[in-house]
Amino acid sequence: MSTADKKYKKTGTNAETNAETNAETNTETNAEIIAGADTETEEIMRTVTKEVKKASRSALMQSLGLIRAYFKLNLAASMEYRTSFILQVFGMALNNASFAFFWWILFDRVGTIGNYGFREVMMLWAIVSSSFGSGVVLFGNAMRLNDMIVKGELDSYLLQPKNTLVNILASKTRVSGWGDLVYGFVLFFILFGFDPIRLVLFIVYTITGALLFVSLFSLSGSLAFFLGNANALGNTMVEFAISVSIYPESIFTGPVKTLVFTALPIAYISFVPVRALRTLTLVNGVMPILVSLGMTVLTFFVFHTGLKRYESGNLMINKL
Amino acid sequence: MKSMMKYIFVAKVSMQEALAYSMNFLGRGVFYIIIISIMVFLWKAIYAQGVDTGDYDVNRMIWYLIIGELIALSGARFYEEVSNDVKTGNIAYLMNKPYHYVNYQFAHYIGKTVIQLLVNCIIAIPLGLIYVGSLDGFSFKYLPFIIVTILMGLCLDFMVNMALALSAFWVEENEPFRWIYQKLVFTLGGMLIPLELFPEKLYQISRFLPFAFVTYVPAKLTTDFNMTEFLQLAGIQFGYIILMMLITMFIYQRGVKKLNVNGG
Repeated sequence: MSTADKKYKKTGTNAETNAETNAETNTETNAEIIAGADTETEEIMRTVTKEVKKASRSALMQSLGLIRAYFKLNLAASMEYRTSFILQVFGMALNNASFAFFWWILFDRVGTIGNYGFREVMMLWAIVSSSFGSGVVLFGNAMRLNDMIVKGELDSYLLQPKNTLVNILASKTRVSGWGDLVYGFVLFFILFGFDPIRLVLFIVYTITGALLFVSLFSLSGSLAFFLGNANALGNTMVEFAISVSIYPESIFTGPVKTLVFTALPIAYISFVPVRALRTLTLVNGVMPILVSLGMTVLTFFVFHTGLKRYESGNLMINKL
Repeated sequence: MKSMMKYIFVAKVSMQEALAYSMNFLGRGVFYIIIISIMVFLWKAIYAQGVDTGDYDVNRMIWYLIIGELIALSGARFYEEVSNDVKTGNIAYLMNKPYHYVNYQFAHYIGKTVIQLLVNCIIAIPLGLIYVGSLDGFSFKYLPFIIVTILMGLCLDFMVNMALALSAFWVEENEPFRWIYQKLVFTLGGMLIPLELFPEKLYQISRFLPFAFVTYVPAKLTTDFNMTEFLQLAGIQFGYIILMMLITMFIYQRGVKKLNVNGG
């Protein structure tokens, strides 16, 4: 039994005794007793809150420790095949750069699209590349979650005393994600040079964007708990998120715009961060942080609710 | 003719297999809708600004992009399979079968691609009609020629991809080659934007590169058909297919000679 439980039991007993003993005492005494009980209840609540915070903090620290450990292991494994690693990183960076060519041709012809020019679209690309890259480097299984649930591959993760979702997502990496990450940062330095304020903002939005991408991928994967094989639907969400986030905000109007600012908050991956990088305004600056935290909480909630419906496939797999 | 029959049979079986797993094709179809819709939003926003895009008005532009994406998203995926066959040594067992490995893959590709192309067409036509109405100046009498040029574009795409996939005989991690080729088709191949909108010098170079004959040429001919131009461009397209086929076969022969499989 925890300290908080013991205290609660003690208070309960005290309150009952007090009620019996002081049944016929005057109002003043009652008020004193009530005031005393209130103080004690407050103290208990404080202790309970402290304990919960401590437990959450330790769970968070444990998860961060797990992510760090997986990251080191996965990186070491990737570096084992160094040529392959370098080829994938440069291949992906070059792959992304080809789109810059398309936008250069287009803006050379059309000037601007809404309030977006070539520079603004490259900002979108910088944020999306670094967010997506860091997301899949750290949580490489996010895009495989649907398959893993359908095939019953979660058993080995359920046996370990770690947060199941973090354990699943972080256990694999996607090497090509390094190419995206590098490309994003290179693009940032080309666009802004060394601008400390914007660099800090860019790093923050890389983290919030990564959280949003991983949340969207995991939420779409978690649909498998409720709908069976939801691969097509999940893939559609994933493709939609990636495709929309790299086009100028101004081309989306009506229901699509509403959708990307609400139910599928893709706008907070790139559109709002680009606004913040351009104008350095507080509202635009803070919203991606709040939305990404909200989506992360929602992802944990949906995954753990769905996990209760999971059916084992009796399949033991290698995690790394 | 008898040797051709077995490949026709492989293509037929691949079609049946594709129909049995139709949900997979639908998934790519949904992606097709997303991409086209985004392109429509983009180009409608551009045309709303009154930008001059030469011969391409909004109707022609959207249909051009629909056809370009149709080709890019209809080719069956085989790159990873071929690369893995080489890397794992599985190709040693497939070489002994009574067929040529490259021809077998081609027949398999054609079977699956035809089904994906049909599924995408079922999506593409209503999509175009909803967004911009029927294609201005289109006549059904040109349809057989358009189908020929689309299929030749897909064949050329197969040959290039096969040549790159067979690089696995020498390079362990050959996936980046495919990414880069794919993006060259997107850009210099005119899938994302018609080549006429390029700066003049770049246009003159890129229109004769092989990438343009995968997507640009079929999409251009579909939206503005001209028999003389068709004969010229289809001729070059055919020439590129033969050239790439020879290169692919050469790579395959060289690769097989250096194949070293351990174990069984």
